[in-house]
Amino acid sequence: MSSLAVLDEATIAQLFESVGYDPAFLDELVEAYLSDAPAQLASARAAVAAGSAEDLVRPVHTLKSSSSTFGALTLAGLARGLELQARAGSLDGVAIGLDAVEAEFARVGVALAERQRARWSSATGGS
Amino acid sequence: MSAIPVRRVEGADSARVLVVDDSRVNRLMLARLLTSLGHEAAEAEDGRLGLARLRDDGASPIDVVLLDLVMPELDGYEALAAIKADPVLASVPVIVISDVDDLASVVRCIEMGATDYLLRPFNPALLRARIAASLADKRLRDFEHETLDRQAATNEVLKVISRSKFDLQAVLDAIVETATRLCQAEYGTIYLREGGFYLGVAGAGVAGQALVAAYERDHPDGPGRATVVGRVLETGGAVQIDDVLADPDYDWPGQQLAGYRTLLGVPVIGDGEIVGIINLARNEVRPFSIAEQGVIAAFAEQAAIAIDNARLVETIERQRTELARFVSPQIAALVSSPEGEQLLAGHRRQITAVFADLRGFTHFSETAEPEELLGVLRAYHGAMGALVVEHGGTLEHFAGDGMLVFFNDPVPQEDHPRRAVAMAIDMRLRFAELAQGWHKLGYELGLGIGISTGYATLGRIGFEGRYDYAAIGNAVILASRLSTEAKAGQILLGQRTYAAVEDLIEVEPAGELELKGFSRPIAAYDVVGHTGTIA
Repeated sequence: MSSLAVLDEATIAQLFESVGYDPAFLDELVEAYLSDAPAQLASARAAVAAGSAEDLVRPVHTLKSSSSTFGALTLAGLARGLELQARAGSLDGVAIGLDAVEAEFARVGVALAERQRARWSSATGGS
Repeated sequence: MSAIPVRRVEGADSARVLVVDDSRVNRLMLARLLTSLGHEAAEAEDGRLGLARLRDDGASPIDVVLLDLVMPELDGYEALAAIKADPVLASVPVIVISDVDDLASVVRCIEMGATDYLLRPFNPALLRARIAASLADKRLRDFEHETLDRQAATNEVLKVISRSKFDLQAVLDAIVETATRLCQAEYGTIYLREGGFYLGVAGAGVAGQALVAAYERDHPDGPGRATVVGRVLETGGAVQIDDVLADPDYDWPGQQLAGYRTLLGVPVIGDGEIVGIINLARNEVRPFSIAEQGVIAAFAEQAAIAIDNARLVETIERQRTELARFVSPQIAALVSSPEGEQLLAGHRRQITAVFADLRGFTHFSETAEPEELLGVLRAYHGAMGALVVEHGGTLEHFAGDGMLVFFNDPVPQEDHPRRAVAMAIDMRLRFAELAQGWHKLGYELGLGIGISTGYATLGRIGFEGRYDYAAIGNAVILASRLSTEAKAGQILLGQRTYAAVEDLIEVEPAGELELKGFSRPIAAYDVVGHTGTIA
């Protein structure tokens, strides 16, 4: 169903502008994101295993927040769905939802690595 | 007090901003943004660490907090509640940054005291504007607090001044102590002109007190650029030395003793002249602000008034002391008392009048050499005068060998008849000793005393340039007539005086006397002894 790009070009362009076109800083930001996100996913898994909707809220919220920074809108949307459900106190089907989040995160990681290799050049040329 | 100029709050002011967010990506982004806006960023991973950073006395204070809501340990709401409940931190602006999903909770945060909020994703220009607005708001509130503090301190000093209007030292101590505390100076001193010198008279802070002492010893008098006092004298106005070590002309050894760097000197001006100097010092290079200088100038005005008051009191005291050498101390005190004018204008009161004069004096004055005469009178006046003072009598006058003393005016004395009789008994004893000496020289002199109690009119009589405080009335006339009737060594009491002291003395009735000016005979009593409790 998803025809959305993994990363939203407009958001990436705006991000690049807001950091003063500093690719080194974006690299640092990506590194922080890629290394912290697995810990958030692990926390989310643990909350589901423990049957605690309350404990699920924070890790998926944080993942949603940082993912949207890079324009990873699909991932952010999936995480947001989980957050809303957890806030409502339900864990119905969240395990499958987390599988989807993990798969999307893998795609985001690949897309970000491509950007880094290109030194974020497409971001400068974005319309 | 003149208005303290309002400090302008610059939109581009740099701030120290604490970012509290559990997402490293968010913290990095915000810190980067803040740095690019010219602010300094500090970071905390959750609410608990954020609070710890805010409360860390060792770290530089935080101007603005950017607070995430969903965090482990202590979340945004709890952190916000703790900040607002802490009296020290409550005034620090908190901007909540959150996702659109949290809109309802953002409203809740505003109700809890958050200054503002930003919804993710936010526009950097918006963040910049929100921080600037919070800063301006905080600085305005800080300034209000500071102004209130100043106002409170000024009021405190004014209270001390009005309470101890005539105690110059108390006023100067209060001024230097408050000024030093208010301007966060390490120490303060006040110098006052004394002859041609400016002497340290009050100091706050340990160094301040030590320097007051050192200054008296070392300070070169007169204007000059070597000291801050000298510079105030030279310029006639307030002087600030931003850094004494960077000033080639500043050369007072007190600097090595106290280690100060920034100095402020403000003149205390009375009658158009510099009568003193208020001096404040800081041990770091941090010049005193215009507002602080304004406060010290206001204190200097208060010091000038206090100095004026003290000089006035000193003058009155001196006048009273001098006056007391010419007139009765009670009258000297009366003249400078608040109710003085009313009492001097004339009033009626019961008094006991004592009149004393010498038997054999007319003969003595005709035969004695003038030097002998004056010598006898001096000894007589000296001895009797001392007893008048001792018993608290008011000496109306000495006239040759006669003297009039009264009691119960101008100072009320409930036991005035007793005091009068006790004084007369002492006078008789003392006079007997003097008379013994004179007898050897061939002078035969005796003392006759008359005492009467009754109403008299008292007040100022005479003419411009020569006034006396006098008692006029039957009591005075009767005392005078009784003293004329008294033989050498006799003390004659009128009826009313006798009635007041009869338990304390032994008398012999002296009969009913026909006295000049009195239509009926007057009963008189001769004091022959006393019970010993009279004095």
